[in-house]
Amino acid sequence: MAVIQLLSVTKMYGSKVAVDDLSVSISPGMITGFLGPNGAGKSTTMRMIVGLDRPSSGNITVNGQAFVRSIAPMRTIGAVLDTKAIQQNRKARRHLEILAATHRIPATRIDEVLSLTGLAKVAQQKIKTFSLGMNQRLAIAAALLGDPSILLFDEPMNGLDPEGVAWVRSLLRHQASLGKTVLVSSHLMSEMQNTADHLIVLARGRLLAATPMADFIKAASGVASRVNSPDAARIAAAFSEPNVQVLTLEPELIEIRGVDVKQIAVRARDEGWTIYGLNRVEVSLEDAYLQLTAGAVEFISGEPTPPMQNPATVRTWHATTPAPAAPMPAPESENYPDMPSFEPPAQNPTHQPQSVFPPTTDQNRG
Amino acid sequence: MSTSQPAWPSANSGDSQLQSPQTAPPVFNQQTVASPSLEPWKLSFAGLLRAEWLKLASMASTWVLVSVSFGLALYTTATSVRAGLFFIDIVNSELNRDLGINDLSSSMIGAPIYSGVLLTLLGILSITNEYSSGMIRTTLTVTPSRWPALAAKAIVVATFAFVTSAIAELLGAILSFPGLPDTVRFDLFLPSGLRVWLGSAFVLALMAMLGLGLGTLIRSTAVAVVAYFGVMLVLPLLFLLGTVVVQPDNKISNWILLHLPAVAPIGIYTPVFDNAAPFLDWPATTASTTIATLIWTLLPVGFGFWSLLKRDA
Repeated sequence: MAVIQLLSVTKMYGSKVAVDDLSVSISPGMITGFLGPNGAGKSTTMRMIVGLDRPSSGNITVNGQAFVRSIAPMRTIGAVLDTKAIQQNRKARRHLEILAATHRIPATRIDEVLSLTGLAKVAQQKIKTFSLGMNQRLAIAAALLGDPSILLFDEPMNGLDPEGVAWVRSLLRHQASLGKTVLVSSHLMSEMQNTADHLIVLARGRLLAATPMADFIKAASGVASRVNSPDAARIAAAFSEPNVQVLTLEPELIEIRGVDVKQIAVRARDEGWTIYGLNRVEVSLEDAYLQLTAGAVEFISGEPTPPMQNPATVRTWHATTPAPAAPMPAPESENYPDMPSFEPPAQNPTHQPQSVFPPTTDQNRG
Repeated sequence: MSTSQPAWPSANSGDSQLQSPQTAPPVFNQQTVASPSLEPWKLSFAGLLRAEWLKLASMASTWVLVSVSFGLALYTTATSVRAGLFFIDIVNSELNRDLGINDLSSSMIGAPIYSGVLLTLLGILSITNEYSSGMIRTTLTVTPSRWPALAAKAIVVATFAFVTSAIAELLGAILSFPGLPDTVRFDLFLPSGLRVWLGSAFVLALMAMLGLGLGTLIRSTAVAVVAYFGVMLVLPLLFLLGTVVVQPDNKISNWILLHLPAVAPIGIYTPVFDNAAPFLDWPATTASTTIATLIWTLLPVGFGFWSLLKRDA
């Protein structure tokens, strides 16, 4: 049974639509990843679930009722919406004491969450002396204080070091394994792919996908071929079919997505193309996610946009190219030493997916 | 992260519940996280009062404002009678005047004028601090029905203002009493004295609530402070100037002037309007000014609640 249920939820800020007719349900016992570029409406949706924002229309229930009606909100939802939702000029322990007081939670529980989050030693320090990671842990401690059955974490891995990311991940895993409902948002697929069991993908306030992670991977990952040839332009023209994407990486280097190397080799023999190099590349999940959301990105930075901006084409390609069960490449593997690293076979640096998102990670409200 | 602070809990650091994430998926120690799912914790109003008190007490600005307010109330009470019994004629009943008696409680009349500003600021800051820091989002997530949190804050802020003011005034009066002439009566525990003493403290509690209401409605410290000074200081001044220049003896303008939030509260804790009635044509009474003061307080507080319930946090 779904614990959190959104029914046709729309949120407008003035004339701007932040969340558009979103119907989705979130179930217990697993980690639901909430994905989407900055400004996709993830944070707004989470704020609406806890009642900070009211939907312009539609209905949200938590355990079958509006969260506002909960007699023990801290036992129901623990939320980390932003780490700055804290009075900086207080001691960490005092912050937790204030929250604990509202529900008559005993001091022993405060000690528990302090040691659980590794903050026991700094509990008497003022929060303003805390680093970003420590703030994050304090926010998590506050969320866990009431031992809630639902955890809502908005971008909990922002600004964390690799160890911190692994820690948050294991914490979420553990909470989910206790049968709790865990909803965690991120704008980075790389954070989600080893974390979430289920995915909800939003872009521009609209639902793009709500699917088990395994299905998303299956639908998203695909094969592509890379061709190094003086006849690149002719080859590109020859493969301009609806289900195929051709990227020109260099004048003589193209990537053809949706076509296997064997097809290209046979075609090259028939057409008489000169081929210097032909190899197979795996399309990463990160790429797939970027493509899925590319048409819906709001903040385009000055950086070059990534290949394959047309979501319609991308979806076709997704649909028609069922992937072999490929290992998941981790594009940012150097930052996450705990993750398995799978280098693509072709070592061309241009294959690195370029982010269309601005480098800032703290503007994720919306 | 500075070196003195512990790293993420891991097998490498001393206080570990986790295995190193590098070697294996971290596993939580079941004992630490042992789910206290059957705990009967729930939201309680007494708990909210305690939480709001902890919040108020852990803001540096609270203690600065309350200290200054306390000092001013104490100082003005201790010195005003000695400084020429300035206020006594306003308050003294005809009977007392005939007997040549002056009441000590009259020394407290000035206290709300000075402390009022500071305690209103306390009320404003108690909520705008939450908005500026973002704490309000945590507060309202823990209390999604919202109004109990503000009600608890109002009770705590008002009680704090009342108690500190009452103590400061009492201390000031007691300190000043030994050196005063015999004609000054220690009346703090007589009904007339209690009215001045506790009435003025009550007015200060109302002012703190007015600040809280303004702050909740406006959310920004700076704008709320400007609005407060506009209503309390500039408005009466402009009105006074206007009426004096244009129509010095207009009954309606006098009525409005006497019921402005800067003027009306004095009618709650002194009998000045009732005493003046035989001599001056002041269209105000204890009852009318009390009602006016309550309305001036409840208006921003009411709009504050409405705003808190209706607007997104």
